[in-house]
Amino acid sequence: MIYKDLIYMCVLIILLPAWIGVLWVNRISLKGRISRFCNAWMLGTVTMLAVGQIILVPMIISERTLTDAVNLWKLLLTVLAVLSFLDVLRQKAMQSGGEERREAVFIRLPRPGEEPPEKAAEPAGTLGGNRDKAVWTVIFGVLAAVLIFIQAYIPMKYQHIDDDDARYVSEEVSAVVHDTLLKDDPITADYMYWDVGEVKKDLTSPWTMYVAMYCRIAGIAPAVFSHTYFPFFMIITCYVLYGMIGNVLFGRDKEKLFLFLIFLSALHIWGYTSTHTLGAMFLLRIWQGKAMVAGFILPLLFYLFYRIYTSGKRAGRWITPLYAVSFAASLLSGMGMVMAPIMLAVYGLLHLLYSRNVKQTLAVWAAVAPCGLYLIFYLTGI
Amino acid sequence: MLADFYSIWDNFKNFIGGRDGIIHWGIFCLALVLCFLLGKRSKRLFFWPAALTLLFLANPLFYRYVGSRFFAGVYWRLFWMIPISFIIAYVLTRLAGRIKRQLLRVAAAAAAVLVIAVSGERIYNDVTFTEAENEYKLPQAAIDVADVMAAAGVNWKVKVIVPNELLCYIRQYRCDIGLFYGRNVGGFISGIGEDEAAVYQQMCQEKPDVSVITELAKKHEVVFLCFNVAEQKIPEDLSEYGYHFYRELGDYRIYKLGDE
Repeated sequence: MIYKDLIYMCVLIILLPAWIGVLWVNRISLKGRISRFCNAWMLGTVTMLAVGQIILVPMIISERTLTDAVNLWKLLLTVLAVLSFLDVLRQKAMQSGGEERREAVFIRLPRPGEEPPEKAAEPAGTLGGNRDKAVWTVIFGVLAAVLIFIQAYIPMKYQHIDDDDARYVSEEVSAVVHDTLLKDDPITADYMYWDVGEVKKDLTSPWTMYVAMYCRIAGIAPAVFSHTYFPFFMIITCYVLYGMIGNVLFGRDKEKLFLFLIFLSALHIWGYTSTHTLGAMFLLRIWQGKAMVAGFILPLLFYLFYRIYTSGKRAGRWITPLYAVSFAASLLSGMGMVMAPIMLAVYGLLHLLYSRNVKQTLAVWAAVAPCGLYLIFYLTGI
Repeated sequence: MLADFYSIWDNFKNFIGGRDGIIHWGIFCLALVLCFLLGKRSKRLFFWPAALTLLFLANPLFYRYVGSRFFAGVYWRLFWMIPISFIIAYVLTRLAGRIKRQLLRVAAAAAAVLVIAVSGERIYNDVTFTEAENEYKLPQAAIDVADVMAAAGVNWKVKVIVPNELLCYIRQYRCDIGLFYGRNVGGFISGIGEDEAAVYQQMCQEKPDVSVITELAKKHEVVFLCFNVAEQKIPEDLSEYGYHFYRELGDYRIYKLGDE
């Protein structure tokens, strides 16, 4: 049974997002197998979240069933997966037609103003290039992997109880068992419309219904999904994202990348100075939407903006995913709906100052629109 | 304006954990300054975004017109927008990278981790994580009590009153059990009615007035009453109040509406 669950989790949280995300990495023209896979995984994950948000809000309002939502979601994901497959075929055909050679030249001769990660990173010479360094790089790599695995394993093995789940997980259980979307009062189980108390927040941020879709597909009880499997997979997913941030910062210097991850792990593990820190939210209750915003969405925005800031004239390619992030942030939590626009505004302003590219900056700011629309919808209670 | 600023300050203290988090925050401030000094790249990627976000959050006008209205009590969450751990990790890595001798570099990295550990609070402890009682990671008592009530086959949904320590968990396990009141007693999820509040008040007592509980329970067609008899003094026989003994599970005694 557990193997079946693990296979479902691997497919839903790693393989399917990575497959769908190929659409993005082909558009962005990323090179390198690992980089392509990691970027596809993260951008695919955010795409799945965005699609979930786009379909769930109208379906909740129109009082459709969870089965309807799952079927539509599966249909859309299948379309994206097929498009991704066709895109891969197209790329292969282009490569065999001589495109590969042209692109290879392009890599060797980046456009003026462009700052690829390899060049942007600090000179590797500062760390020396001897055998010692290679040995320590491996040691740091193993240490980082062990630390990350421990952080993912502990929430899977042990029990952390959070009373906020009284709303979240009970909504998921009702949705899966009764085949509804926010129709049961999370406390009394009375039939209701979504416009009751805090459940109103879940209409515009239906993360619990998104989790219910996972549970329905995988056949896993929501409490088991949220408290056991999801933390393990999501914490690893988040650290892959943090590794990608490290990759932008340190380029090909793996020793620094691993050190960066070790320091990050230490800061999270010993960051429990309050229940509100990123470490606390991230490691204690990643299955909740607000923790997903703190641990995944905001770092993903950091990553995308670091890419935008360091990609020179190709920065525009990294702006498009911001729109998907905006939808995903709305799905996860009301806080995401507010924090994503603030970050887009602040980092967009800095992009204007750094690049003086008004067109790109306007494109960044326009990514606020999805969050803004859902926020207006929530505030006005349309 | 000053009151707004104090509110932001309180939220900030709440976020970092007061004195417990002051050293980590100090390390972050130092790292931020170093970002300014470490070159154009770190200034662009870290210093200006973090400084601008901090200015934004510390702005009393933003707090007055947005923060206090929409984030009352949770303004501290906005501090997640500052990449604190990323900036510290980045600067520490850069500094370690400047040490040319390998062993010294390793020692410096180990020392940095040690400082982080000693000055912080470990997230893994007996309070945050305990042995899992079951695959649902919920208190076993909640699962046992819920199973007994659902197995009675009263209806497709039964209304129940449970002890306070089980309020948040029953419905994470089963949705065919409706609570008379739940987390709304703490001001969460939805409002609470007068009758629910009156019963909750009694359920908080060591010697609850069962006549009040049963009267209101009958009024609202509550099928099961569950008490923690290790903590509450409850008469064994509640038949005079319209409920009869149904089952006992460890410390929990369950009564059912009607005659036996």
